[in-house]
Formats: sequence, structure tokens, C-alpha cells
Amino acid sequence: MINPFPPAFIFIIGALAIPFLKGRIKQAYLLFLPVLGFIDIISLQPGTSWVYPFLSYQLVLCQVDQLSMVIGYIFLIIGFLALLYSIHVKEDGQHIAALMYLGSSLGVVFAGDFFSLFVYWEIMAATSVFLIWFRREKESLDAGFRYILMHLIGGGILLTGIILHIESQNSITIGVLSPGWAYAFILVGFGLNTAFIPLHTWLPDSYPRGTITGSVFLSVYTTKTGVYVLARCFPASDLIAYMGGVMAIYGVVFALLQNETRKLLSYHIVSQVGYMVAGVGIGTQLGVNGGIAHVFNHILYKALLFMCMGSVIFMTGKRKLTELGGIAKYMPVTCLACIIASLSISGAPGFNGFVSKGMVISSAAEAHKSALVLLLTLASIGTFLSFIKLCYFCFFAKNEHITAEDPPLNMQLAMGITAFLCVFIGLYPQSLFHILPHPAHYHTFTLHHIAGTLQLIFLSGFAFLIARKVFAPHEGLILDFDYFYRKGARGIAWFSRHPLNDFRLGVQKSLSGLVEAFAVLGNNPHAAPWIIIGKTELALATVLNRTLGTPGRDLLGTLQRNLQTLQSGPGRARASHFPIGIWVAASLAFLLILATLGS
Amino acid sequence: MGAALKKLFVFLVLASIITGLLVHSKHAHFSWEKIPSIDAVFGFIGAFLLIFLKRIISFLSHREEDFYD
Repeated sequence: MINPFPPAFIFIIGALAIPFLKGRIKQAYLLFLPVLGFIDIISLQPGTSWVYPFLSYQLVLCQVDQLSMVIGYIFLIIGFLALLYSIHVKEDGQHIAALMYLGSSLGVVFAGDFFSLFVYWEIMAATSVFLIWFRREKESLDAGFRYILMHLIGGGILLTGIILHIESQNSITIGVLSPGWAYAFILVGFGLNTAFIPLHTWLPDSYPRGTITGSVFLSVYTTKTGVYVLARCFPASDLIAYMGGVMAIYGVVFALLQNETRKLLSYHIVSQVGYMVAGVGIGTQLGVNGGIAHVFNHILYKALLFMCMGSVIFMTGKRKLTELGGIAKYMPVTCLACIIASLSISGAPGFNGFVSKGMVISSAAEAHKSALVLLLTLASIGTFLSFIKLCYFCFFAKNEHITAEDPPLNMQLAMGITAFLCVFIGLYPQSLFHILPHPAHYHTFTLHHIAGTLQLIFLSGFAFLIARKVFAPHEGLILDFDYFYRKGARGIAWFSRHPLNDFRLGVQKSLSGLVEAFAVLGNNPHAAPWIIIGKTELALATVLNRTLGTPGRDLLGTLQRNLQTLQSGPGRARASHFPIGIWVAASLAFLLILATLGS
Repeated sequence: MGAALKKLFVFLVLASIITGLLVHSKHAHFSWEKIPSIDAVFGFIGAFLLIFLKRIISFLSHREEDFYD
């Protein structure tokens, strides 16, 4: 029997074979890798394995417990579905980037020490950015650069935190951190990937710019590994819990303002990740279970939403709600999948979002955090409004100018299976409960909870009907915190270009003037007094000429020519030999004197 | 929206409120949870509160699409 591998290796090494495969074999291989990964993780034993000594520490490539397993399962399930959604893509680079991104995310999940976590963390950033760049539009290139820049800054902050942690604790094992500088730096590093407000701007900026299939992967891995590491290192913190509440409401309000479909979805990632962060921050067994269950469910419905909107863009070429409408009759499968995903994300009873969202809100109520309960409830109203808007203006609003059809079969199949899983977990939540990190004693289907949720949904739907015009999409851009980053970055660029570079040029000029003066002096020492006199004459004449306004151009010209003749006139080449000869002669004389004295 | 759909929707709205009146929470953590069908009030008021927030943000930060170019 072969021992199980660290799952990351299967994808990172497996990706290297892609360029050598063609056609159906490549497609089969792409689907085979996540299946192999799945077989691999179910044969992993709890505890640590693949341990290597490194400096005076130990690298742990495989740390297995309930928490890493549940995230591992969902990463592989959605990895399979996202690969199924993208097997028609011909470009090898996209597959390689996606596989390495998936692999490195699994690397983070199963890493037992901060060093390997950091390495995988950086591989994630460096590979995922290609899923944006492969769209090959100018705005994708720009957004990709902003994405990688922010993640590198985040990585730097994380590394600083890790070093401080090692400095104080002398250990690289991943575990619960205690407050201090290391805690703060690591929290900011993790928080950037988890889209903490105001570090979230990379997400709605770059995810809508990814390739059709790449954005499905993007919507899954980065933020969820963030939530996972928060659950590992920062359980039970009010700061994190309320950050979750703020994220939930902030994301939803900005989503309501968006016109571009995938940008709307991206803001909903911020909002939904808010629920997970809140659950983890509450830190009780129900809270962490709820947060992690929400990771699982959110990955399913959000990937499905990105698949649906990706299909719409793929088939119609349109990505704005103002340009879309009326395509339900042309793309029935996509429309149905989108409605299922929308009901799931809105937390409608019978769909998976209902299960985990209820767990998180209940855990906040049990912890008597009333403000958090209200924030999360308000966010769930906004989510429903936002998805009525998306479905209505994308699929049902009147638009006679578009005709389309459902996407290729593999894309439909991926959407179908994902939608099925959303409903399956919604109806049979026990299937999810028994893989959660803590024992789950949560009753999903109480009459009170179902009635309450239906009231929220129906009454906010009623408000939508009354104020439908307010929700109509508009052209334009909604500024976010990235305004400050972009202006700030432009300020830094200006500061580098002007004060700093001007100073550099000034220093260079004065030094080169000095060097020039020594060179002239060394080449032709006897001309030095005349050069000084010539320069003074020229300077005086220039000043006089300027102040008196006398037409002394001829004089200036003559003086300049004279100076040039002195500095580089005939004999300069020969003149440069003189000092060498003099120095050689002087040295010989010195040696001769020494020799004479010595004898 | 068709008339039949509208009727169905109004029926569902009313049905959810009436069900709420009949079902009481056994584990109320906050005082407001004891009010029957409070979620219906939340849903309705919450939607308008969000519209208000949306308006404020839109007023403050709505720009032309090529703002950064």
C-alpha cells in the first residue's frame, strides 16, 4: 500500500504534465487529479506526517484533523466541478495555474508549520494572478498587477508576523496565537486574504476581470483559506466577530450598487465571508461549526453563481445588467442553476445557505451579541434583494436585442451537479454536520426559524416590488477604499519621481562636476588657473548679460569657446599623459631616495 | 408580473406573517424575539434601510466608468 501524499503535491507536480497531454486524455487527466486527491485525503491519518527537520525547527507538510479535512473535502469537490466546467479550455497555462492554485490552497490547509504555510500562501498569490491575466484584456492586466501587489504586501506583513512569532515563541508550529505584535501582523496578513474591510479592495477589483473559468477558482480558494487559518490561529475574538458583521453589511450594500454581474458577485463574497469570519470570531462550538459549514456551503453556491454568470458572459459577451435581460428562455439551464444558487445564498429554507447562515446567527444570539445579530440579519435581507435584482435584470427584464443558448455540455453538467449539492445539503444537513470540526447539536428545521426566514424573504421581496425602480442598474463606477490606495500609490510614484529622483540627479551632477574638475586638473594642471579664470569670466558675463540686458551674445560665445578650448583643446590627449609621466618619475625618484638612504 | 403571480405572492406574504403569529420562539435570546412576526417587520424596514444606505454611498462615490483612466 502506498502511503498518502501531501495533497498539494498531487496538483503542483501533476500540473507539470499538462503540456505533454492532448485532447481527451488531457481532459480525463484534469478530472482524474481531484479524484486522486480525494482518495489521497480520505486515506490520510489524523495527526502529523511528512515531517522534515529545517534549521532548528520542523516542517510539517501534513497536519490532519477534522478542521483540515472538512476544508480539504470541499476544496477537492469544487476543484473537480470547476475543472469539469473548464475542460473545454484549450490554453494549457490556464489549467496549470488553476491546478497549482488549488494545490497550494490545499498546502495551506494541511500545513502544520508557519514556514510551509507561508510558502504555499505565496504560491497561491503567484499562480492565481495568472487566472486574471489570461483574460488578456488591458483592464485584466492592470487589475492583476494591483492584485499581486496587494497580496505581496500582505505576504510581507504575514512574514513579519511569523518572524516576530518565532522570535518570541521559538516555535513555528501553527496554533492559537496570543495577543502581541506577532498576533497583530499575522492577523493583518491573514485578514488581507480574508477580505477584511478595508483590505478587501483587491477582491471586487480583480475577480470580475478573471477568465470565465478562472474566476470560478478564484471565488473559492483565497478567501476560504483565509477563514480557515483564522479558525486555526484566532478563535474567539470580538474584534474578528464584529469585523465579520461589518464585512457582511458592507459587501451587501456595495453589491446592491453594482451593474457588472461578476462584480456584484465579488462584493457578495466579501459579505458572505463576513458570516464565516463572524462565526469563527464568536468562537463557540456552534460559531466555529457555523463558520466552517458556511465555508463549505458558500463555496458551492458562490462557485455556481460564478459558473452561471461566466456562462452568460461566455454565451452573450455581455457582463453588465444594463445590457442584459430576457435570456431565461434562451438559457433555461443556466437560469435555473442561477435561481437555485440565489436561493441558497439568500438562505431560503431547503437550500444549503439556510443551514449554515442559521448556525452563525444562532451562535451570535447565544453569545448575546445583539448588534452582530442585527448586522447579519440586515445583510441577509440585502443578499436576497441583491439576488432578486441579479436574476430579474439578467434573465427576466425585457430585452429584445439578445439571443443566446446554454453553454457547452461540460459547463452545464458542472452547474447541474453543483446546484444538486446545494439542494442536497439544504434538505439533508446531517450529511454536512458529521464532518464538521465540533459535534453539531443544531436543529435546522424549527418552525420558528423557517417562518422567520420566510418573513424576511417575502417582506423584503415585497419592498423590492414597491421600490423596484431604485434597484435598476446604472452605468458608472462606485468608488471603494481602493480610491485611497490608488491615490496613495500615485503619490508615492510622484514622490519617487520628483523629490527623490531629482535629489539623486542633483547629487550625481555635483559629483560628476567634481570628478570632471579633477580629471581636467589631472590632465592639464597648468591650464587650471586659466580654466578657473575663464569660468569666472563666463559666469560674470552671463550674470551681467542677464541683469543689464546688454546684447553681449558674441562675448559669451567667445568666452565659452575659449573655455572649451582650454578644457578639451588640442593637446588634451597628450596632456593626459603628462601627469602619469610626472607621477611615475616622482615615484621612481622616491624609490631611489629610499634606496639611497637604506644603503 | 402576471396577476396570478402577484396574488400568489401576496398570499405567501400573508401566510408567512400569520404562521409567525402562531409560532413562538422557545429560546428567545433578546427581548425583540418575543414579538410575534418580528422578522416580517425586520424584512420590510431592513429593505428600506438598505435602500437608504445604498443612496448615501451612491451619492458619495458614484463616478464615471473611466474615472481611473
